[in-house]
Amino acid sequence: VSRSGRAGTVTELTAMREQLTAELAHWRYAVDALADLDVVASPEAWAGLEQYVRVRLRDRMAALVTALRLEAAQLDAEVEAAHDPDLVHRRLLRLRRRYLQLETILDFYGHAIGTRTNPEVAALLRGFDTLASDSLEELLRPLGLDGPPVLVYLTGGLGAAILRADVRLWDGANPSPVAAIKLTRQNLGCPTSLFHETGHQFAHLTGWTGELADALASVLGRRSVELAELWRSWASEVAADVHAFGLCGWSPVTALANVVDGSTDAVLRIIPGDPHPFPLVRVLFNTALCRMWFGAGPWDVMARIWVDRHLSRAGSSDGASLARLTVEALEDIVDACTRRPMEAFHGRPFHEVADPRRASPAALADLAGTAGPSLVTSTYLARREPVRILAWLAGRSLEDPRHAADHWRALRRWVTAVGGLQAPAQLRADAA
Amino acid sequence: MDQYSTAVDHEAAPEALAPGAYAPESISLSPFVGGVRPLSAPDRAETGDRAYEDRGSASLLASPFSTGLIDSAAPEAETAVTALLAEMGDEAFGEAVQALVDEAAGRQVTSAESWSSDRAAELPTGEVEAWMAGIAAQADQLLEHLELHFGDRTPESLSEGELEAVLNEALAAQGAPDLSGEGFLSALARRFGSVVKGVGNLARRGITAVATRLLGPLFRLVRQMVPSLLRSVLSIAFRNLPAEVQADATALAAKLGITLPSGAPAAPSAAPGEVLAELFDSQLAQAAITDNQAMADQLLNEWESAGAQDGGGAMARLDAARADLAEQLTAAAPGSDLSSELEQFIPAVMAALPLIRTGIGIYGRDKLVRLIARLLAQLIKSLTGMEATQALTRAIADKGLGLLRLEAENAAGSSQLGAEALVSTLEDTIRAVGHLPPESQEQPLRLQAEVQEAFAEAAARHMPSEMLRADLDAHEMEGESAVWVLMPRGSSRRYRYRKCSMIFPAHVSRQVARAIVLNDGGTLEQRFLDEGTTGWPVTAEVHLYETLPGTHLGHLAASEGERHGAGPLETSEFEELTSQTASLLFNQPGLGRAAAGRRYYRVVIPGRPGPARKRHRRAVVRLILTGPRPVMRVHLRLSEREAHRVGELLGQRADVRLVAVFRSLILGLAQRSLPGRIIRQVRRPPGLVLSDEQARTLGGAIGERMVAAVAAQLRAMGPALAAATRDPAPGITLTFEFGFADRAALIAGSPDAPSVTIRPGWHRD
Repeated sequence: VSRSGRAGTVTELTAMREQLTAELAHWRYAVDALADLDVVASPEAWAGLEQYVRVRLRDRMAALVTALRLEAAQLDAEVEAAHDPDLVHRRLLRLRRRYLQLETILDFYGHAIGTRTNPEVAALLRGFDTLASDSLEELLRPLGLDGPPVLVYLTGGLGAAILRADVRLWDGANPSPVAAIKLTRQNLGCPTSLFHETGHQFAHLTGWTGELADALASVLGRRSVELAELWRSWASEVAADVHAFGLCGWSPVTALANVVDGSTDAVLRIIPGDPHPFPLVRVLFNTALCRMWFGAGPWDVMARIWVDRHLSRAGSSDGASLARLTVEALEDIVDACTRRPMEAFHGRPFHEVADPRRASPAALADLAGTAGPSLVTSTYLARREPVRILAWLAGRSLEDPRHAADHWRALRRWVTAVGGLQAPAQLRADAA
Repeated sequence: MDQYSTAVDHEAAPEALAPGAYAPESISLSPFVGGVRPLSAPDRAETGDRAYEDRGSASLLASPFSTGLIDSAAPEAETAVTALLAEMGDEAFGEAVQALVDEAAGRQVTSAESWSSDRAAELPTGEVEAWMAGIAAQADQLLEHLELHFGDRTPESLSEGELEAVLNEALAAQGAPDLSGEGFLSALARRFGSVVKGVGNLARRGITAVATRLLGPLFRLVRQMVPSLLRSVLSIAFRNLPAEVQADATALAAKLGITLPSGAPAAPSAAPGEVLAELFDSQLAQAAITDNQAMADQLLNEWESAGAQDGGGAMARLDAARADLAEQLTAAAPGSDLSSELEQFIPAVMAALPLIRTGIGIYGRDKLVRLIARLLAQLIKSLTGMEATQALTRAIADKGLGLLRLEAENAAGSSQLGAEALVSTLEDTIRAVGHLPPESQEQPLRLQAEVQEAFAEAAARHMPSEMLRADLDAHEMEGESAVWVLMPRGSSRRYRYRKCSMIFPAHVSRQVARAIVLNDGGTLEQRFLDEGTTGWPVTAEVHLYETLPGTHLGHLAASEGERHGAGPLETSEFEELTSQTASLLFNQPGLGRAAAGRRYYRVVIPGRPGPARKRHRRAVVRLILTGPRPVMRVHLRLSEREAHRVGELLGQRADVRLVAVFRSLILGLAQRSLPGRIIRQVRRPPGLVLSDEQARTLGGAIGERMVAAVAAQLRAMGPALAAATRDPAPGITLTFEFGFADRAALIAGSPDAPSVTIRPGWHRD
């Protein structure tokens, strides 16, 4: 190598180092900017969270940013040494990738928290946080499990969703610090989908889903292998539906029907890989839960109308055939879901963990009748029976649809008060 | 060789001592690591008498008010005042005034950070004064409303319910809760209502002193007294009132001519706002009875002078002195003698404690200050300078300060926490020494021993254990190490309380919760159940706090709420810590021992929002002496949970279980809180003497008759109980009204069978 060649190599190395330094400076600046969590969501939005949730989220986010800043600092030292510029460059690209992953995480939570900028929405969502976390705690505690904090956020669309606590986030490494539940605006009048979503968290923490999948496959296998495998694949959604039914009874079924309704083709369509039972089967299963636990009732009318609309005129499509098979097996399916002892529940059936009879229309009416006007003003009842009160309030608009708007307003006020941001005096005035 | 074993300034020390009385052969031994001689650990006296709230001597009091305006030659008027005072015995007014004190204190401390950080200045008061002016305006409008309605009427002319209706109307006009509300305006309206009704009763009984008196002049006088009351509230909150006005209620009552019998049992200690309310009551009662414009003018002048008094900014000077000394400790060269700096600091500590001032006057203030300064300077020599205070800061940071969220202060080599720990150690030592009786302060050896002992104890509270000698036996905790950190943190460095760096995890079983009695007369078990607990044990965190001179619970409530990004907490969340509670909750009885200040604790259940509303007092006792026979009303106030339980049992027609529920509630209260409540009521009017034993007997008799009344009248009460449990108002009140043949029957604990009234909501009329 000539002297000029060595000089050229040195110059090249210096140039690469400077290039890397400039590139790294860019990403370090970007990473540093993420450290201000009040940019992720406004201070007002953060203040709308319950303190425990806020601390947990901020701590986790701060830890994620700190880890990335540390990685950037280490890379800075490597650039200085620059023994292997290619290796450093690969690490720089990894840093960029990790930055984008982190940004996705922060954006997700930032969006979720940011839905609380409006004080009224913040107060309402905080109430839903409390309802969701209390309901999880109520069921999980006797099973020796801790319920996670819940962050509820609001968006448009039809269906609710959950990002479960402790699932790996987009970086593939760090777990979600809270259960983040998406509610949709159209369902705020009957927000029982909240308990379908917490049902996913419940099933995950208890390990119920796998056991339920086996149970469903077992009871349906003698009727149809195809039916059995489909129900096995739907187990996670079935578990969530059963959870919502066990806590709230009938009102989640009507909310579900509104969301999954569609043309006959749509409600009979089987989408490969979809964990949800196709709509007709799902509605019929939920009405069967009501019938088998509560006896005859308005759910029978709903089931009959859905069958008349979609099954009586349907041909022999796969969906129609499987729906007919399902109708014949509903009793077995309900039995497997609610009465079969499960290891997940320490050998007890689901109905001993969450007794649907406590959420029957008659039981809810009894609760409301005993409490009288204090039902919606009592802070004690709001803590002791929050889900049943919500179920009763949600059911009011079903029983009295002419005044549904009034009932929905009452429900919103009560949920807001549960979040602790509304003076009980206002509720007393409403009750009076 | 360790510098402490011989670090004696033989030339300087004797100067401060009585000639020939003292040879300082073994000046104070340091408790820090490296001390070669173990500290002796003689039996330490209980330190309860060292608490700031020590109100041991009524003789120190000099009320700014008259010693009684009732002429001794006018026994009828005196009797009338006595009866009226008894009728005004509703403690809610005192609680409401104290709540104002707490809120004012909290508002001041939370507004401090947005103001100048000039530590020489007083904490900002403008915002708080503006807030209080709003309350004063509301109160005045309320009273004006009453004056317009009743100014030309006599009390005896008012018909049943007429007064209450107008009072509620006046409250509604101010947007305030009605007469059953807990706020100040409701309490003031109730207080005024009770005075008017009491005077009316007296007039109907033929007491000529109050007969045919128009209410107009009384209303006008009260309208002038209330602003002075509110100014006094601010003075107490800002800790500006002279110590004499902040004395305990018993002594104050004595100064006001409300003579207490010498054998009377000590009533539960009253908060400063409650003392102020009692003072207001006594003047109000006298004003209501006194038909004499000159006397009324005198009352007014006294009130106005009380409201205007200023204690001279002792707290601001102490704030500044703490900050100065912390900086001096950091800036000093390692091993410096800071005697002269301590000589500046000691008077600031002493000025905040009037009892110390008195003692020092006897011995010789300057000499004592110099001696204490020199002793302390020797003890802290090894910890002066930036390096030492930084090391101390790091050691403290390791003690779980993350729980206090002080990470930012620990960053970048800060020395503040370490220096402040030293300052706290010194301050507590000075305070402990200052509480010595004057004769002990005159004995240098005794004084030296006291300094050494107090310093060791204070160091054990404020320094991490690894900074202390292994053989030191002054630790409060067993197997753990924690420190007490000055709060609230902020750039202004105006500290109003301390918080323990350790947050104690607690798994509270039902039995333990049942054994812990709270201020509201209930138990921790009842509180947990009321808040929705369904399973046991309850996993909770226990936060500990310690008062400083000038601490109000409002400071804790505001600062702790703000730290968590919430509004102020309820002061009722803070419960006084005893050794028994500390032992039961987290097995550290030493932390419940009285230390430099009072200790409080707060139980937090992680993930659960705080109490939705202020906790209600479970039993309220009223003693009425304005009628021909003594009457005692006991309001049993059921929580929402208890009310719903009663509703459920009524629905099930489970009469036996229902009586059992009431039996448990009533007898528990009769044992825990009724005797104390009865004593507080009985002590107000002179002439009534009730010993602890008699109060217990009376409480027991009342409790038994309450249970018997419920059992006998359960069927008849059913519909009213059921309606009350369904009412939107929180909880229900069962009012038991007992008549007594005469005062002797009251003292003997022989009540008649009570009448029972049931109402939704919580009442205390």
